[in-house]
Amino acid sequence: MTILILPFLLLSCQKQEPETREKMLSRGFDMMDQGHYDQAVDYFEKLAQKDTHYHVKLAWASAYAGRAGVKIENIYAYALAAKKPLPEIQFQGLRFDKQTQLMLTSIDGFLQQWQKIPEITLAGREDLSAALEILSEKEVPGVSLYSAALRIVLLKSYAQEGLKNWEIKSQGPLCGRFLRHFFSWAQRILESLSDLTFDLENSFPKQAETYQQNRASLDALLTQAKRLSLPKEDQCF
Amino acid sequence: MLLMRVILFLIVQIQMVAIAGSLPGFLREGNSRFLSRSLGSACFSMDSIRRGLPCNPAAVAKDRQSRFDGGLFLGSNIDYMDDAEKILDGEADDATVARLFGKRQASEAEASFEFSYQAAKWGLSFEPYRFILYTRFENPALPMIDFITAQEQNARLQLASYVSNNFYAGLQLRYTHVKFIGKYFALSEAAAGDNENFFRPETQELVYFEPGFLYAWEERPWQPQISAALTGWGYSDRKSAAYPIQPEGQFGASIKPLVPLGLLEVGLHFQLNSETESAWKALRAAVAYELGILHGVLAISDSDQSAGFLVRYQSFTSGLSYWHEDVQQGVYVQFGVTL
Repeated sequence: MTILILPFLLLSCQKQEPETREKMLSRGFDMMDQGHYDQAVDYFEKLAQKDTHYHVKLAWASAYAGRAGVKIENIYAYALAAKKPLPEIQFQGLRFDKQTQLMLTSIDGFLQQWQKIPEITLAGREDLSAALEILSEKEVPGVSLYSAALRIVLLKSYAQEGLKNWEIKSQGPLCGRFLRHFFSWAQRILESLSDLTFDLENSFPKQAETYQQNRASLDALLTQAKRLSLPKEDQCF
Repeated sequence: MLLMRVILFLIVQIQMVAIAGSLPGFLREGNSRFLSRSLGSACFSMDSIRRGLPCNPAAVAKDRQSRFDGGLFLGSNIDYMDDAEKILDGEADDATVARLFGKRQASEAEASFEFSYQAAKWGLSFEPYRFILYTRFENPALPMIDFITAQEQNARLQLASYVSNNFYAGLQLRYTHVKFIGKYFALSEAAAGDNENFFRPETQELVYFEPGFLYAWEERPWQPQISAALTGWGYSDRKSAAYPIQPEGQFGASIKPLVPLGLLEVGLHFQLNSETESAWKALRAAVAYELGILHGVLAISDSDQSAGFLVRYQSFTSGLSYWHEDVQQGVYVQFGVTL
């Protein structure tokens, strides 16, 4: 009868395998499933101190994104809308009313895509900034692509805030100090777009040239903008 | 306008492509498929619905009869094909995406055919083709996907002998050749960069040495038996996350209480490995009842339950099994011939 114990003796000699990364990540994802994002953020932060693998960074960043309300279905919605090709607008040889009609159609298409990008709160913006900070340390295509997706959400949030402020300010007299404020806001948007091209270049190395060209255009625009000198006195119109 | 076009061009580049960890232990076991799906690990301690080689190699010597079995096994619990297709076609809405990636149940599909021959003291089985697909999603913010698809060829040789005093000992030598793609990845990884080589197949050779022991008191009215086996103990030509060498200890007992009609078998079994948290979680109870051409089975453990039946007509058998676990469930069918 004692021979029946043999398998268990052999089993006890088996070296205990350390817990896998997947299992440790799963524990944090369970917290996210239950809506305990604060707990998940803390958990992944501690895990990232022990394990520097990019999956841990992605998980940590996604906990911030989840807390900000940015989930995969939100990203899918605007990524899908973005798959539709943009119409090429040829203004040459067209009458002014036709040019206007094409321009409006194009803007309408853009707005439809723009509206698919999720909106976030002020706290959510801080979360996404923290997520982008985490993702900036790793130049892995999958990490950069997630970074790009979150950056677009953040970009919309900044853009909308600026536009809203513009609407409020433009109801009264338009003064130089407001213009300077909006000018620096527009510059920050351009800088964010430039950062986005870096993310996309890392995400799709085969299309690196295209993104470099885009960045060059943006940077040229930014340089031009920086050369502009706004009147120092606070004139109102 | 130029700025707007640049923004749009950049957004256009963010495209989603819905395109794995360790294969669960039950998918790495080398037991005849329907048998292990119906009885679970209790098949090591029980004699019922045996088609193909027994789970415990020592049982070959106890059977003392020659038999040829051929069987086809199919099963799947994949219920997300429609959703996945919509996503790939770009026709999914937010709810479809949330539903697919919000799934916490693992999904798997399995198909195999196996031939086996059992003589008085040895048995041989060959599984020329076995296909497995296993997927699991987690993380609602950025889906992490455990994806394994594998094509296996398996061969088993069982050698057994009666030793003395109702004691049988056996050894199973199991060889597995597997070609698989096993990846654990974030969805953004599959959509980014150079993903042509992302799902590069790998191969692995595994050889297992699985001893089994059996005490069977066949002369007693309820034919009690006690079994023990060591499974999954062996050698692999390389280390992989999908097919780890993870030995398990199997220990169980069964009886065949006398009933007025038919044959009843009741078994209790413990399956232990390095991840077993408690004796309760390792315990499985199973009941099998045979009446005429019909064979029914129920098995239950802390984490899973299974129910199945097998119908025999002359040399042919057909079986259906339902299996439910914490994170997955499925229906499996078996068509077999016994000569």
